[in-house]
Amino acid sequence: MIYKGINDNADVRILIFEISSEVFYEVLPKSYKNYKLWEENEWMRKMTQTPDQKSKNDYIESFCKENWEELYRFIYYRVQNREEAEDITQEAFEKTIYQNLNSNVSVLNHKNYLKTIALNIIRDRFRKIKARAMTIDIEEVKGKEPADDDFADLVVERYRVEEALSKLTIDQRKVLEYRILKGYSIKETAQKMNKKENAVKVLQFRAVKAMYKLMSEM
Amino acid sequence: MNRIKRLSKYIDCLNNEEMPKEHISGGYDKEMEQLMYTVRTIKSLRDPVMPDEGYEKNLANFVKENTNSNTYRNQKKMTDLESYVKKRLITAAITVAFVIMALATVYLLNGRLGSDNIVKAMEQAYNKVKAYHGIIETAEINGLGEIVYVSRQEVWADTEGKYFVKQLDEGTEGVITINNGFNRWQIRPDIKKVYMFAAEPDPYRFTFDLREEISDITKAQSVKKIGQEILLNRETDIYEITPDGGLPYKIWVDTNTDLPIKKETAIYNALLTKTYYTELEFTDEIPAELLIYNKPEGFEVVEINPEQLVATLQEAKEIAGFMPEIPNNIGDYVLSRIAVLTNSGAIKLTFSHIDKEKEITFIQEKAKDKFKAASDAVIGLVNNNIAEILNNYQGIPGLRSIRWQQADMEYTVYGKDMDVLSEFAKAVFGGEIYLPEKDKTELKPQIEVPYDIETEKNEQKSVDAGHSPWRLDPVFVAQVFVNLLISPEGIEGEYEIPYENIELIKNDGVNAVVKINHEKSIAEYVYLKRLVRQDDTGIWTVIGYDPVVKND
Repeated sequence: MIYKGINDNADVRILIFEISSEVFYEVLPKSYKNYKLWEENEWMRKMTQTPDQKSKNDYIESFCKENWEELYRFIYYRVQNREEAEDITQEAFEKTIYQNLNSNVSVLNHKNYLKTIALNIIRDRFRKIKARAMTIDIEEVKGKEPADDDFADLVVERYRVEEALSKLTIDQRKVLEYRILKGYSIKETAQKMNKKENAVKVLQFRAVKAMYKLMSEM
Repeated sequence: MNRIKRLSKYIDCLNNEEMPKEHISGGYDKEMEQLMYTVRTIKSLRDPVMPDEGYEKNLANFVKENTNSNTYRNQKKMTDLESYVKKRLITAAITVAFVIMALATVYLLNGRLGSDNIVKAMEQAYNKVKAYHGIIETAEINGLGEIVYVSRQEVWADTEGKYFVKQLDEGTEGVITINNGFNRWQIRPDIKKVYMFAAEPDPYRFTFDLREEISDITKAQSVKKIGQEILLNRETDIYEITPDGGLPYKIWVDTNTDLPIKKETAIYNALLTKTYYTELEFTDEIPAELLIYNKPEGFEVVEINPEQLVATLQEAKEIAGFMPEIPNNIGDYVLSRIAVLTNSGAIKLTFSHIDKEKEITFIQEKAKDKFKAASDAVIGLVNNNIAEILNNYQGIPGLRSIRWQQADMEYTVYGKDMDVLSEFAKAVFGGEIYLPEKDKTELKPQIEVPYDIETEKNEQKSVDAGHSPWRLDPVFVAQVFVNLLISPEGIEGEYEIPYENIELIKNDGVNAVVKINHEKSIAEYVYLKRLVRQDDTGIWTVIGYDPVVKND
């Protein structure tokens, strides 16, 4: 079963996605401009002529309540900070609800749809960064992310990280535990490890480098 | 900022549950991305930090509000980057407001800072600036008061040395010069070319760069308040700056910000130059999109000194054909970047201080020619090899370097602190370093050449204004002198004794001696001295010579 929708974040693309969440892009046909005009008009018509504002608001509330937590966790796993996860969650809901209210096609699996939109927002950000930084290769890094919503992959990824951590030197493992897993500051870490702050910074840098190497080899 | 510090800040950001700026503005290389990815992956072992209570309700309200608004579509045109920049601009505005309030408090408590304190005030005000954006106009005015040339440029600059400069005047309109900390490039629409340079060392300075202006003023002989003026709706104090050499000039300092917004040179050769910011605002950073490298369609890319970053010394060795030397015992410096200069086959190693914003660059390459020091270099020794010591490496004032050859290899270290460079050069092979000190050696030429100090002072002013730059080169000055010795009536056409036949054998920055290797020369050694100013901007004057000894 294939559902068609509009990714209103992408400028010249139509998103076609399947229930499996596999995403790919196609360049829009030449009638893109006419299509966009139609889209704007259609949206305006629906928004201004909605017969029942209350039921629309109820729908938005229940949709957010039902789905926000799972989506937030899904995003947080990828960006690892609350500020950004909150922003992207909000943006994904806006896009999804806009789509639901304005499209001629219905989406059956809202959870997958939300995650696909969220993943597109994250990837879109990375694509923009990639365009800015000349040497960066986000795609390579992206390929190592766990597959969407796949619990088994998450477990494997977790095992991979723990396995790599166990192969570090004692000091390297300690510094990563204090700094990243426990969230201590440089000062606190330095006190706990009985080292100078500068030494902790250097140790931490080398430990992260070593972790990347170990994880790449697994 | 070096990688070690940057990675640490990145971890701090994630620990504080804040979005790191790298997630929205980029500006990092592949290795940094790998490190950040690794940090995120490790942190994913922790449970996620959930939003505050009430997030769900706020989320629903926000979505309702936006989907009910007819302007939703247009509002959402704002990109993540714009949103980020906007947030930061608001922060910057608050910071600037705070700075202004703080300065106003100082003003009220202590009275207006006097002209004696203005230099310190400018420095302090600049230290609080993170980045700025302005439109600079420059006008050249002749003796009749007529404007003979005008140029305009839009400038974004930050205190880390990044900038975006766009020419706005007709002749060069659209020429953009950018340094984003990783690369430097210039877009030339007139010839449809993009010139790519390494980000550092960067000799480019745009007119009225606040950092450079304030730095110059701090070195001035005197700063005197001479008046006040309302300029572009801003209250300004006017100061006369007398530099350490050169003609006095005026600056207009905004009394609200304590930063200069206009500069006017003295009249020289019937021309006066006025440079001023018609607009000037302070921000947290340069908008990231301005520092993105985008090759315009149809433009040709011309690489100047291209660098290829590599991950390991082994990779560098495979490209360059030799294993680079790594100095031992270099204190708080760590190797932070390895690159190969693809044109010359040299290996470029960058060492960063683990805590401070300091870097030392160490270039190693196979020696191609016999070592010859630059004519404006001080001559020293590294491990008993002649070393070229410069205070303006690649023409950049304040960037110092030591270059020498040893066992078929040529080495150059450059950075800002000569003491650190000296330690660095010493650490490579463990040998001794000799750096000559100024005014320590008595020069005793056999024949003294008289000079008039007033004439030399005027000549120095002329050189400061950009004339006769050859007076800064002791070899060139000696060449003119020895050719005049054999042709006292004047030099016509080519010099009889060419530049290549003159060898700089001693230079301590104040005194220099050159040897003339030419059969027609009357002088064998020429002695020169910086009489007026004893730094890189001081002119050389011949003070004597030793005649050639004839063995008949």
